Amino acid sequence: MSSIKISNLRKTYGQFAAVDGFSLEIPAGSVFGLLGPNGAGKTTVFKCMLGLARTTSGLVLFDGKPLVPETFERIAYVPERSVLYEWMTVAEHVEMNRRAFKAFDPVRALELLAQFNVEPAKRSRALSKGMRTAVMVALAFARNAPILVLDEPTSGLDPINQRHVLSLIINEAARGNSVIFSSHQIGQVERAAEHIAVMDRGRLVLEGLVDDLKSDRKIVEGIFPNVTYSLNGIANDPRVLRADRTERIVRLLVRDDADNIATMLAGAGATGVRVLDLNLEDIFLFAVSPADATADVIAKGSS
Amino acid sequence: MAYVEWLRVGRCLKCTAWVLLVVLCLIVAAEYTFLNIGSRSSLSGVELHTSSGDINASEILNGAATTYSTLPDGTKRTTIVNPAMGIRVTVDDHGYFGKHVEIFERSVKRSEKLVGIGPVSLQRTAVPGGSMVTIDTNKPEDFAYVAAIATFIALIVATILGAPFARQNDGHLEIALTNPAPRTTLGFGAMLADVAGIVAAWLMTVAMLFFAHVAHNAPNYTYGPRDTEVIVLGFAGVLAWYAMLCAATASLRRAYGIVLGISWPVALLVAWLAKADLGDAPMAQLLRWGATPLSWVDPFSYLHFGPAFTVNGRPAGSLAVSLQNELPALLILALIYVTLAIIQWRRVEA
Repeated sequence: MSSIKISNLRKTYGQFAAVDGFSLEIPAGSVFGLLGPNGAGKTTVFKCMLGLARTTSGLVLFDGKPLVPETFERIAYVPERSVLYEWMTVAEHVEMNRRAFKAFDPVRALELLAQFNVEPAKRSRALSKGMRTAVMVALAFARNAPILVLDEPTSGLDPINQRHVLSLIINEAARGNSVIFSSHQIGQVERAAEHIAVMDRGRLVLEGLVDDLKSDRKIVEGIFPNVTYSLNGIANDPRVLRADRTERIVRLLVRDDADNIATMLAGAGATGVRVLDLNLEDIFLFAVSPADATADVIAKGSS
Repeated sequence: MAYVEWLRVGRCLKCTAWVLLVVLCLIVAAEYTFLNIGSRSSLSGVELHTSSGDINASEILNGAATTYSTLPDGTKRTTIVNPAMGIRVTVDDHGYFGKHVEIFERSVKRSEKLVGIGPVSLQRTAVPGGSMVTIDTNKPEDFAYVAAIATFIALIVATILGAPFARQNDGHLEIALTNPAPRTTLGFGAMLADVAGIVAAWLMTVAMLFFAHVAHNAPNYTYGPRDTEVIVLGFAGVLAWYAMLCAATASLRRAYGIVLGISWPVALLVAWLAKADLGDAPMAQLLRWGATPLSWVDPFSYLHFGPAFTVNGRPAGSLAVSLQNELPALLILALIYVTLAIIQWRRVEA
């Protein structure tokens, strides 16, 4: 059982802060989903975590200790793009891992490759994008590492193999290993992850247990008879985390006491007011951007 | 990373082996055709400087009397006498043990000279009434000659392998940097694999040259202290050259091919400019002023194979070997370049 603690991580490229004050604690034996739009800084966080990129400031601890080369005996990493050697066969990659890592299980690697329908004798250059991802995933899961860091591990895979990867992730957690992974497939994250963190523009904007985030928050939606209306200060209520408006429709992200807010919205003139449960996609979209491109975020205090 | 480098070295050596095999076949074919000195066909490729001007050696056959005989020891002798040109050629064919050719030219005064290229020796001496050119095809061969050619091939292999870090940086850094071994260890492991490959290429070339020799002539090698100098200096030079390429490319991702591609012309040009007599023109002075400090860090400036190619028994050209100066310089350069390569690679980010 291994835990990861990231404190105030910052990584800049010139004036641009790819990661800015990112802090996170990943409990041992958990599946942690890292979400964020393109360019949010997820891959940079992984690279800084693993020492692949130098941090501008901040601290990363694995089981309370800073990363040293030997730590990689306990960490398996799948990068977002293929890092396989084009001219090497898959079997040679298996052998490379066997030589590098004490706990690597080549038999398990070959089993996983067979499950992904990858022929070990093939050279990497002959593999499709999805197959290359499958090879990297197979090599990582054959490492028997207590920590798996997976940067978009289903990228390019067909739905069957995506599901297979998710099963592998869930199995690892069942064995007490920690998995932190990023994905643009929010449904996959929702299925596999217990914890999520959402990044936007290098910052952590949301973090917590998926179940808590979903049960704590509701959407209160109402429709006004015309486009000119007032929310009567509802958007400024501390229980309202966010208010979005698309012409006559208002959607409020509410923490606690959603029914009361719904009553207030109805009192402001909205019809068809309803309280909706959140899914992870809603949580993500509310966290990083307007619910849709046509919506305006109602600034607090301007309603 | 070392495993990957071993695989890469293996692939490189496989290619080298094929090239050497083709070269071996070409050499053997050449030995039995136009390099078969003394044969009628080979004479067409020889220019003779006679009193009546430069002529093709095959022309001496016109109007010449040719006789064949077998000496008591089994040597087959061919004698060609052209009284009009004042030329007498004697070819003693010892079969597998080589040929001895004597060409007498009447009334030609030319400087005495002895040129040795591998097992072939050409000597011109003044004799009463003219001069004598003696050609021996299987003289005792200084091993330095073989070592020099092998070192040249090793330099080429060193150039091919000379960017282990840049190749890793080019899309595979995540593999190296998530390895549970320190970067320095990984770096040294990769370089060690390459150096082993370079040594293997050197040995393969020596073997190829040996087989090329014994395919036509009996082995007849000599080995002395100067041969050791050539081998040691050669290895130090290749090591420094390889280390320099590593240092020049350690922080690159994609452009390393350009660096490797221009390395030879640039290094040779720098070494040449620093030593060439370009005159006193301002531009020449400027070139020398620029090239001289660069030549101090250019392994090619220290690398030469004087004892392998001799004229009048001395190393060819003005490049006298001074192991005392050049060997330490090359070893220091190798050490500096290896250190620079490792330091740079340790700073590379994925």
